Amino acid sequence: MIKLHEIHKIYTQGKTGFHALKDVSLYFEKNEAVFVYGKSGCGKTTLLNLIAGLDQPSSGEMAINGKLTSQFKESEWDYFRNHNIGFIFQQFNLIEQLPVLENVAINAKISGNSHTKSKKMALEMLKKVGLEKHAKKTPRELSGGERQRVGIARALINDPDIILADEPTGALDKKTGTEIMDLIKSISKGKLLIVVTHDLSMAKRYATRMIELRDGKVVSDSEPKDQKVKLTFKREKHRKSLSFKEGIRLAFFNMKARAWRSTLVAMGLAIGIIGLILINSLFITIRTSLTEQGELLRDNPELTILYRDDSFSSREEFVETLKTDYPYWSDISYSPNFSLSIVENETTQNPLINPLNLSRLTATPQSAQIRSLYDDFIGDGRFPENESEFALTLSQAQNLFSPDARLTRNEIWERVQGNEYKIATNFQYRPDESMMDANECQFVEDWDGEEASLPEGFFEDFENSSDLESHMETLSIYRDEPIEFQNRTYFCDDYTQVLWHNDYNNPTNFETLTLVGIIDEGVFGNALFHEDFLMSIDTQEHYYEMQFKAIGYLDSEHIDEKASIIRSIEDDGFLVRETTTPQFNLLSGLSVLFTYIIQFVFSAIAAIAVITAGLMLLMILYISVLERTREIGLIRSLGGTRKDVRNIFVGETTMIGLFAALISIAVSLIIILFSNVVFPEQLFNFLSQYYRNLPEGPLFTVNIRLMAYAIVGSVVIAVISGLIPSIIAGKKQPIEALRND
Amino acid sequence: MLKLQNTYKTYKNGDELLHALHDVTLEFHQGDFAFLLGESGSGKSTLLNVLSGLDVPSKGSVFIEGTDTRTFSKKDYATFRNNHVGFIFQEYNLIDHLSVLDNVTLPLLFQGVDKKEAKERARNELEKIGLKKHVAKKPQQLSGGQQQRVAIARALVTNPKIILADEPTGSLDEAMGEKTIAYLKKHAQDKVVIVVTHNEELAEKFANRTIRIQDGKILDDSKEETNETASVDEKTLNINPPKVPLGILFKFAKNNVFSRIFRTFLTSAIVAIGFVAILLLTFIVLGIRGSLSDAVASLIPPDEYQLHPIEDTFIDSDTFNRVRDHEHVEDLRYNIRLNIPSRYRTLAENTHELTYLAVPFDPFAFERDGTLHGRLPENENEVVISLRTALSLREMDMVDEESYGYVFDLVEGYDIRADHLNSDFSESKRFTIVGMSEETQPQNVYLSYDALLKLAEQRLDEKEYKTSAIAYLSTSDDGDIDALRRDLRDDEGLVLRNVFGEITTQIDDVMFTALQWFVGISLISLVVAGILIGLVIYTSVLERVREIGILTALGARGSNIRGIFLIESGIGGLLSGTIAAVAAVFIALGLNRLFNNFIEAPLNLLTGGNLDITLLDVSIPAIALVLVAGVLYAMLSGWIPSKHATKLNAVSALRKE
Repeated sequence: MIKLHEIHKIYTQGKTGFHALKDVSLYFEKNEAVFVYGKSGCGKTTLLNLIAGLDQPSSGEMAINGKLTSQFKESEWDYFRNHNIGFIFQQFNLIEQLPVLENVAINAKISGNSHTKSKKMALEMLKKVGLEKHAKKTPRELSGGERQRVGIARALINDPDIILADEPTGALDKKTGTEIMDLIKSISKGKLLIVVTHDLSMAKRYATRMIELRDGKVVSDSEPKDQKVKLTFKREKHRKSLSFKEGIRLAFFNMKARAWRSTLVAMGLAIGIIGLILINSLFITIRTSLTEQGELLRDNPELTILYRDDSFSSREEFVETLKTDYPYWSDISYSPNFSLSIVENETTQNPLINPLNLSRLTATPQSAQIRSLYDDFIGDGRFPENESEFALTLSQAQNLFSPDARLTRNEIWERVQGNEYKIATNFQYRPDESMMDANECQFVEDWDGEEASLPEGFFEDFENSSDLESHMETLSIYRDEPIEFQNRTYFCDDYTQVLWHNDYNNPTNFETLTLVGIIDEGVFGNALFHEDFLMSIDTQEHYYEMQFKAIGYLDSEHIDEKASIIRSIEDDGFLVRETTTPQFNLLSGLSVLFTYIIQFVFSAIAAIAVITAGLMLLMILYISVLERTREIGLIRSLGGTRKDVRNIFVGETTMIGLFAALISIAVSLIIILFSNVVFPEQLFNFLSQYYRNLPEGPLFTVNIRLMAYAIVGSVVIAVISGLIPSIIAGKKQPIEALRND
Repeated sequence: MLKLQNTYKTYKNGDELLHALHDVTLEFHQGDFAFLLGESGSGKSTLLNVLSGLDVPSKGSVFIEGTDTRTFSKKDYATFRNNHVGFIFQEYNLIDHLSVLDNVTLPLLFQGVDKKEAKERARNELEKIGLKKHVAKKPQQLSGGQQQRVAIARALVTNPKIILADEPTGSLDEAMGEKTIAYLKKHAQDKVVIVVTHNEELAEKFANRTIRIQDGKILDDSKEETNETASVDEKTLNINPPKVPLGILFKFAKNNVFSRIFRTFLTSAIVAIGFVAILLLTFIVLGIRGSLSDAVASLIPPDEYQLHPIEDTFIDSDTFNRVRDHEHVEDLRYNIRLNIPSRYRTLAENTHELTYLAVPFDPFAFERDGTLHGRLPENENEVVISLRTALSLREMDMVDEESYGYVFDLVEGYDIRADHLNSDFSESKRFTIVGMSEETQPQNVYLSYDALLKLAEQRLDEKEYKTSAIAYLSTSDDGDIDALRRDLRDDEGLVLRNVFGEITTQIDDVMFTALQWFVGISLISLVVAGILIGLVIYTSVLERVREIGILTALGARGSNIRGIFLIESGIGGLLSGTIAAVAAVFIALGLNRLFNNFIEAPLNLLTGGNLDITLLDVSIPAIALVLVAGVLYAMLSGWIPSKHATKLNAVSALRKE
């Protein structure tokens, strides 16, 4: 069955060599109980290791069941050990963290048996050795004799034909030792049993054949045998291996045994991921709100509705008609963009620094839209509530003072709060002198809004269509007759139209209003007045101004039908234009971009923690591999392949990754819940110091996709970090691993 | 001297109770050379441990020189062991990373003996036992017999009253074993020696008392117990703990760190990542801040205060005079910058016109830059001009730096005119050029303030040139300046601004807010690193149970053992701080180089500017802070595992399985 032919084994250490086996030629048959004895250092254990393939001879040949083992590949040895050899150790070599049942079953699992089948087999084996009651205990809870019984059950579960025992009673007292030897003898009937011992009396009692080794040589053999062996060269077929599922199961036991360490490692990994989840949850909220604001303005632009005829008796009627005929508005109001000019601070009697240029205002009524978007007042400022109140934007208010004075927001508000200002509301008009050039005059009369119906040559004045668009917006403010003004005739060639302007140097009407608020809003540029005030401004006929002008916003249900609605209104003789504010789009685009950048930078810094955690995992797993050298060696000696060992460690990292993902999701959800529900205001105030445009409401968005990323990322990082240690573990030689004690 | 009274010790193994000691009463006296015989598992070693305080009896008590040890704290026991007990083990249990001499010196150092004296005593002891030649070797370079002799020397060096030997000959051959015991007997006649063994021959040959123990019970004692109460002699029992020099703990920590240098280095490197991030972020924030501040300082003098009317267009003379007389105002000038046209004759005898900016000169600025050719103006008729102006006057465009002196030679002593001084453009004034500054951009002419004021008065309406003023203050006290600022605002309607301060404060605000966030988020990775340090130290503790056991047996106290691991954490922290500092400095220098070569230099080339930006400012205080924080944080992280080290039942690791 096993034939050893002129086997030599030399161990080298540095320059010295040690001849452990010298010219050993032996033949073993089935149904033998061979006891190899000799003093320690005589080479018995080396012989056993060679037979098990845990060590390779320096020279000589060995054949097992006709197969020349010197031709074996590592995987063939693994297969051979697993199927044909049962190994019983002096120190039992049980895996401490696994229950007894698992310790036995693992050998069957390595052969590729399913979990249930292995368990059943293990239970049967335990019954045979009388330990079925202890199946769920851990080895720690067993006595030495019981442990060795577990070792025996494990060795025999795959029904091997060779049983190798290395001093199986060496760690037991005499009585237990005898019991164990009886057990080994009884279950190895019909098999080849090779026992290594230094206990001659035991050998005499149980052996059918005794071999004495001295200094690596066989000095006596009670029943020398030899036989010619017919060699076969059949490779083993591809074998099954420990499934990944089993790797996970084993990892679970190991994590349980090192619960503290596993938890801490998982927490380490989780901390960085929590950071990433929180940062991104917060930024998702911020960006969503920014984008929503931007989209609101882009998708639902201001619509300017103009009417040129005199068919309406009043502005109110005009607006009412729009409201009732077209019930699509979320908000619509009469809205000429009046140009006004602040002339004097009546409270302090101070003339304004530069009333002519800097204090000019575009006045807008406060639509609901505006009220909802721009409400960031400095101090205790507010919207104007009656016709004698008004509000300015910060940049307008700054123009009331020397720009070099660099007053702060609050200083400005302190100075102007409640002051009464004299505001010029009407001015003389004069034609725009730049329109003297006939070529710049544009056609408007009876234009139906279709580009095609513009006269020939119209487009030649515009280099690109955006110029055209901006001019189209001003089409209405041209006049169709030559104008004589201050001894000069203003005309436009064929189209004879002239652009009129307010002459701010010549105001004709003044009102006194109280300043009640300053809006700190960079984008919004209009001063706010009460609608009643704007209605009441002298309706002196503006040459350039449409009589009736309203600004409206579609409600959310009708935004999608914007184009058809505009068309239908225009069909009724109104002129409708969209006002897009490219400036706002750019700014909101920039702030979204800026937010992305901050989010990226913060995430990158938090990702450093994740990388650190990955390296930590690598480190800890590496230490764990060192600590578990013995366990690895055991699995290899049971016939586990490198891949099996790797699988166990990869299973462990997968578990840690999953565990970390669970911790991070649970903890971040708790933090999010706390921040969103328990102290949202404190958090809001804290963060507002750094970022002014924080949206109201819950600050953290729970994003399922983010959580999914967290799980996948956590597992991937854990597995990648564990790869190197897992490979190192797989490379450990079984013999080295077992020797390490 | 040493007495056990009805002592029990029970272990739990699974569901079974194991009586390691069962109602043991024994007394030992000076001169006893007692052999404790029994099979393995009979309770021999437990007896030894209970006697030395390495293990506490479940029931009953141990008296040492009449003192009931139930009153002993762990620390008392440690001191007792250190001063009065010498241990000898089967496995020698020497500390591998210390030399033979250091191994023997160790118990003396734990006693607080001076290092020099301790070494001397250890050397003597080793000489006596015949190991003089081997003092400098490591234990593993010795044979088993030699190692056991070192262990005996270690046990005897403190001259203890009690020597406990646990299978001292178990790993030695017969002859060596007998020699060892003989030596022990010779040198320990005045002590209590208790030898645990299963070697009957040895006992017969040497023992003056033989005790047999089985299943935790005394089977047989060759000396009849006199049941008299022990004489109480507390004075001889010194259990005052000595101070252990930090050096020896440091040596342990150091040796351990270096024996696992790969792991230590890797751990430190991982911990360093967070610190590197913090350092680099700090460097870049400081660098940008510094570069911006420098840029601001080169444009705006830090001590210059500007005065602006708040709701008026200019500062009238009355206001100006009142402010100038304010106690905290040292000097006040209108901030005048005049664009002055000037005709000059070219080389080709044509007349050309040039408009330059006339500004008052700041002698300190010239001194600071050190780029003045010629001298400063000494009267109202002399001026300094900028290089640009000089080039314009001589119809040149660009010259390289070496030719600046030549350019100055071309203009020195010539006149430059201010034309169009009055309304009909007829009047003009001449200034003599006495100096040139190396400015390539502004077309400036520097005049004295008085000359400039006269020009302004001639050319402009007062509303045009009195728009603002520049003040230099006689105080640098913040309170005074605030008071002045309030006075000017409330009484004169003027705002006092230190533009440099305002800008740098704003820069600082932004930068430090950014730094706070960056460092705050970086701290996450330090938390992870802390966990790593804790786990590695914990592993280190587990791996070195035997060493801890030896130290405990030698009488090291919990605080000593904790100290070793804390120092070890600290060394790791220092290493990671150092790695972080080195890495961060290298990365910073590299990034700076990249930035300067690939962004700054091309930018300067394109714009003709002379930007000098240090993108990352390698800040020494930040590095120092990280080093200190690294050590402290590592020690904090190592605290729990270090504490755990003192709680291990380390002694069990000393025995062979």
